Amino acid sequence: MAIVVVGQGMVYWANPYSHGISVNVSGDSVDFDIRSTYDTEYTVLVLDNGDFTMLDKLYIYYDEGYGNDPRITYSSQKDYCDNIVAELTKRGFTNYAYVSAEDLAGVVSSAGAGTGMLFTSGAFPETVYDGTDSCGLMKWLASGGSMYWNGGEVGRYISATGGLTEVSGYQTLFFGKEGCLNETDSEPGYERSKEAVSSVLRLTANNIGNGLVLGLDDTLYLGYNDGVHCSMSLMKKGEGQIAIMGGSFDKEMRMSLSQLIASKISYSTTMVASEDDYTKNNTAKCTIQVLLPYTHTYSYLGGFLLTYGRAI
Amino acid sequence: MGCVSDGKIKLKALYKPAILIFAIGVIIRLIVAPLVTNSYDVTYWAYSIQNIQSGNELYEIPGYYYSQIWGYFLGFWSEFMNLIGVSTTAVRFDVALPIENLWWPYYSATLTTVDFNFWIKIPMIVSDCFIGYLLYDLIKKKTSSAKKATLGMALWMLCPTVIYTCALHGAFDTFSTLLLIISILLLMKDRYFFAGMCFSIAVLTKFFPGFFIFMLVAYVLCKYRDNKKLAHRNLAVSIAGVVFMTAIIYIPQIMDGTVIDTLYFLSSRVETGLTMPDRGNIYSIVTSVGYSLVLFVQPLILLGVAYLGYRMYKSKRPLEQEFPKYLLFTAVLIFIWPPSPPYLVILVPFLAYYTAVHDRSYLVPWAIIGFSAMLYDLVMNSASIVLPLAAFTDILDLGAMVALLETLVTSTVFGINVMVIMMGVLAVIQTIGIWMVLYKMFITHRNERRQSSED
Repeated sequence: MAIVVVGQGMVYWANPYSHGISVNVSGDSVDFDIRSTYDTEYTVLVLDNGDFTMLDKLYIYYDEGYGNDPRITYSSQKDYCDNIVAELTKRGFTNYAYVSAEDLAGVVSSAGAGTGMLFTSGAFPETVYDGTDSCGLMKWLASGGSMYWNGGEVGRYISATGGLTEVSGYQTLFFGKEGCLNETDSEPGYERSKEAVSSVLRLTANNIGNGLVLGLDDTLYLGYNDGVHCSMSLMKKGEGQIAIMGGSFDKEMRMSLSQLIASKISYSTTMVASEDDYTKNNTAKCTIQVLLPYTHTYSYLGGFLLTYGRAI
Repeated sequence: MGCVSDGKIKLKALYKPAILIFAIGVIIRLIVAPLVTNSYDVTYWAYSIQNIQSGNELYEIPGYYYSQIWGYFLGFWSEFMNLIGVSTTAVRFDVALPIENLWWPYYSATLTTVDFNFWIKIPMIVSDCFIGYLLYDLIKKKTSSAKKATLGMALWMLCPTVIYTCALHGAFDTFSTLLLIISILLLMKDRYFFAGMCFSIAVLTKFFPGFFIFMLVAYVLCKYRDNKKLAHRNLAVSIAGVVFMTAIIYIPQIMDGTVIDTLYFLSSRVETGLTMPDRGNIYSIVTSVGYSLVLFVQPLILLGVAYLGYRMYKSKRPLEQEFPKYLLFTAVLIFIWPPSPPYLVILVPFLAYYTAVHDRSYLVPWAIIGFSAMLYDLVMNSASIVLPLAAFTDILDLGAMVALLETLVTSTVFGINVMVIMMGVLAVIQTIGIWMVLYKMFITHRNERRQSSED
């Protein structure tokens, strides 16, 4: 009984665990100071996004007044979004807001650089999307916005208060040609992306259902593939980008998508340097000599069982 | 509960063969624990610890799907492991990814380290040892026979399915079994409030002890049959203990609105049972039909155990004779269909006690149940149990073990999946063992009644 009460106290009232990572830059060296109350694996990355404006604010679309892709229920969508928020918070990304279809119209009226939108509805609301290049959403992307898409085929449906409308030629609109998305909803890919950043960020989602075809220009292919389609892709669109996540709302995608957003990487990101080791006596210091330009760092604790992350 | 009444475990009092058997049971567990593991479940223990370490509560991020007691325990034990330098580490292996798409969905490409697997099972091994000792002590006090006490303890400590569940699977059924036994012992010692508290934890650890509620109520009422006022008072105190402990356990979930999540373990199985099987998938057919049968049988079992409680209450025979018999009756009735290997552990101590004290012919069903349940689990987990060993040591090759698992899970004979055939056969054998106990008990009970009426 005592163990149960003590355990309850540790889980809910007096969490004995804490952690922190600080980064100091002096000349060519980047110093990471890692502290935690438990010995664990740490991973640090130095990243270069080039000219792409780093993500600062994320809007999460959820509106029960507008239709969803028939395969996606509102409850599963809300649970998934709430879980993404919890994962993002763990990784230090707290500048997010839930938005309705009406709110989105306001968001796309501003320049897109530095902002992101997460769609898990399987459909874009008519307030921002009409299936043409001149709609608010496409303009917002052209101005530098980052759109994260998970669940169904991107651009296929326009949602309204009365239901859904299917768009013809939606793949041409987004990718310049048809046949770019996997028509299967769920399918595993076992070939790991050759991009080092994918492995170091531990992007484990390997469902390539509705994923993007390999071989498109200005696209960073992450996660896994089957030689044809990829589970996680970041594709340039105008000055902005589209992130296409394959499959449905599973655990691996939840963690991988959160890692993608929190690490603030883009289609143009290159990994300048990285290091992976274990803390000793709850601390670790790590210095990386960086001779190339870089835009930011991302560090996290716990390896595959991530407990803490920060983009600095 | 004389063995712990003075706060000391009197190992010296154990009969020498008992020490040997006890030691063999412990050594087997300690050897098995790091070598083989049910990675699917144990990885979820690691996810749960990850969520706790990250400052998230049990149900804030998906990863913990049980009632809260095990989560509280993980909160405590993970801190202990941290203090002794055991980190919670898991790695997702690309070579193992295909196993997550086999028809049996309980295989994971994410594997926890060998030292984590060992240390996470240590509390379960300790719990097994406590139960073994309590059985020895109880039987020794009851019969004054060290041989009978040793037999009872051996039937627990060396039972194949108990060893598998604790040391290999890493399932925490042993805790709910221990807590149920302690609840019973506390009732026998007239410690009603603590018994209620303990019973509350037992039921909230795994739900099976809940089936014993009728028997425990009947015992409290029977114990002071001649003084109904006292009997009712004792029952009220027990219920107060249950309510008090349940309230304490549920405070965090009431405060953060996650009470419904604590019942996910139960509701997910009901949902599976109510779903029509997809005929294109063997797993969905097996699970859906299986769970539908479970759901259909549960109300009957509930009625059955309630009736058993009533029968014991009405029985004129001495309570100390009737109580162990009816406890075994209850324990075996829970599993009339279908046998569920990890959960079956709760039956074993009652079967061991009755076999050692009353009738050694129960050794036959004990052996049938113990071995067939263990083999059922083994077929189910297949070669996945050695994946952590292959992944983190040089003893086995991970790629070869993944290939072996794929072969074992997908092999067919005359178009029928071999794994399904083996699970079916072993389920039937388990059922035979269960019904054999039930039949023997029925015959024994009938003979006792005839004897009583002749007297």
